[in-house]
Amino acid sequence: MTAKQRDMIDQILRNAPFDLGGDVDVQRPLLEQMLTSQPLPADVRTTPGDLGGIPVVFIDIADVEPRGTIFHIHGGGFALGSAAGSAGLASSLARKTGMRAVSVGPPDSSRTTPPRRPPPDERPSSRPPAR
Amino acid sequence: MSRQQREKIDAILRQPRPEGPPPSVEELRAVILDITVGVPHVFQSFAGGPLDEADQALARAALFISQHIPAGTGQLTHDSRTVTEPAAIAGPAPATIRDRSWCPKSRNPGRSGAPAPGRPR
Repeated sequence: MTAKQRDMIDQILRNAPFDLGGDVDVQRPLLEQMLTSQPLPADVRTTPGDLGGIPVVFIDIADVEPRGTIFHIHGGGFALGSAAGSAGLASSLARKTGMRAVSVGPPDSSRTTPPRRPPPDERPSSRPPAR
Repeated sequence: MSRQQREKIDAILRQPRPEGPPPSVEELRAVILDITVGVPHVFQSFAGGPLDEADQALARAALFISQHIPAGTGQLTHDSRTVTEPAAIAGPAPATIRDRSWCPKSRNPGRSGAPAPGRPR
């Protein structure tokens, strides 16, 4: 990475409104906006669908006969991100492999329902009480 | 990663796969940890943009996938009617994967479930 590239990346990240330490409900659309700010290449086709009842987004490269399928699970700790938000990354991988990609999750983060789990110290313990 | 290590791994990855049966599950479990220093989290998202390392990382990932998934396997249609058996891709699968209850209806004729409205056929 050149110094110029580093500065550019640094500027992009520092100027982004997304705050990893902020409230999830507030940050989710901001991250989505970041991830989808760059339009997908014109030959990328995304089709919402479902796979065994699970919402997914099918990602195809136009005029490419896929030789296989990449099953892509986006990150985000079960609270952030979306299938469409990761379409850029998944489509890049699909293009380089000559495959189709299936990105798992709702097509956009507004349909994501993050799990409401209690903090670890509030969860009931499965261990027997100490004697 | 030293240059020597990188070249050794690169040589391993570039070895052509011999014709024959698909790789076993044990083979597919073999992965390569590739560390790129000085880049942000999920830096691969910058592929096609200002970060050369992102394109290089995706190229390595694509090479790895291409060499571990034989052509013509893993077919998955848009209407999710055809899913290749995991065993056909990776040899004998654990018993939990052999459970077909997760498969779409065409592979489980006894299961109900019409295609979702608007789903492409």
